[in-house]
Amino acid sequence: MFAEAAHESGREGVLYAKEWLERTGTVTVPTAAGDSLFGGALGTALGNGHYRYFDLLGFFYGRRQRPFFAEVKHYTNQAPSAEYESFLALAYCSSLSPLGENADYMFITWHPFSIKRWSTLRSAASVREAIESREEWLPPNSAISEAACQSVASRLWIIVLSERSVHLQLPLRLAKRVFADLETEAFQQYRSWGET
Amino acid sequence: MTSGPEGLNIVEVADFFRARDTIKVAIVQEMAAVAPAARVSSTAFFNHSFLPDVEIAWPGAVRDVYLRAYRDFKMLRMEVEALRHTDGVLYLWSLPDDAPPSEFVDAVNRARGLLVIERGALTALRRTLPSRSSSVVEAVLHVGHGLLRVADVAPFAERLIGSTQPISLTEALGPYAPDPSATPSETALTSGPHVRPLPSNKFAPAKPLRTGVPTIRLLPSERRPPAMPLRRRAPSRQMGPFRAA
Repeated sequence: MFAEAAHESGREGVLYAKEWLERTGTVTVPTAAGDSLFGGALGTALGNGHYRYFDLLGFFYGRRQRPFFAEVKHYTNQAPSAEYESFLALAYCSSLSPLGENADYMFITWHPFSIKRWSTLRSAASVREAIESREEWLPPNSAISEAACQSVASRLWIIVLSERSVHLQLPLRLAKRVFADLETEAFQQYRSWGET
Repeated sequence: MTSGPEGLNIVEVADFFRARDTIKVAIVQEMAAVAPAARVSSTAFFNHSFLPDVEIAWPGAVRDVYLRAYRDFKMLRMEVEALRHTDGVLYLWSLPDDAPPSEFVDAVNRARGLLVIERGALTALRRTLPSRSSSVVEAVLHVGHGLLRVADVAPFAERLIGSTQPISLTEALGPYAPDPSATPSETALTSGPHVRPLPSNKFAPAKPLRTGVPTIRLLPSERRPPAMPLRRRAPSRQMGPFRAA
């Protein structure tokens, strides 16, 4: 019963985060955990033969349509410190694949964590520390690359949502009108702008 | 930790966008085949939380189609609840193999204007019914609501074909008929195994379909408005981000 409630909360968190990201107007998030079409793209093959999955796959609007993966932890009374370490290690492994080579990695949580280390959570050292404790995830006969750690660190996001986050976004009725207009030629230009 | 990934093989970004476009084309073609009187167009969005994947336009009405590919009834129930005010079509790429649980069916029943269809159900219905009954299939897509799975096609068609008396369009639609206030102008159909197709202009509903805005997705902790200072003013419609259109 408790586990099911946790699963339900997790699903709600994933769909909430998906919508929150889409309502920023800067990204599209076509794939979420449980998607039978593109759910496989969320998975990363690990060196031990297993797979681990992110919760969301999206793309920044822009010329290169840069992808991003997101891990969503809808915890309200538990700091996801251990989950963040796993996320870092998974991001490192994912970055070794063609899809993850230039992808950003977002950790979305409702509960701040590791406050004393907050300023270093997105450092190359944190990435290295996370993958060092999970060396079995690495591809066979491969060593941890400092360059890869730094590359992943430069593409990390930590997003802390709250129950009030929705109040700081466009009302849904207005958002729909704005984004519908974005289908016009102006949007096509917008989608090709910028460094992304 | 888990088994290998399922679904389409996506190695690079280009793979994703190619596959996405292929899927959108398939949906548009399916809708266009069952709704020849409509203009079916693909939008720029895919599996967007509140924007449609496809738009179907009849004279005086537009119906939005939202694609979802989750194989989890709990996720699908959340999507039904989020879209319940749209009067659109929730297009399910593949349903789980087991029968839909009561929570899901109840959610569909509460979404009074929403049509939830399984991929291929309308095509199967069109192929099962006599060709002269194809107008009924278009009517389901145009104004129908409820859950239509491939498994529902045979009993639906059997009921229709087996009718020996003239039946109205509303009767033909059966459990998929819209609310009485939005019933299309009714025309008696001929009896027997072949149903005379209605002219397309007979499908215009009494009033245009509402294209409401999907309900904002709320977490349980947010399902009450934040505390706001009371203001003395005349009663009016409740406004705010929690209000569905």
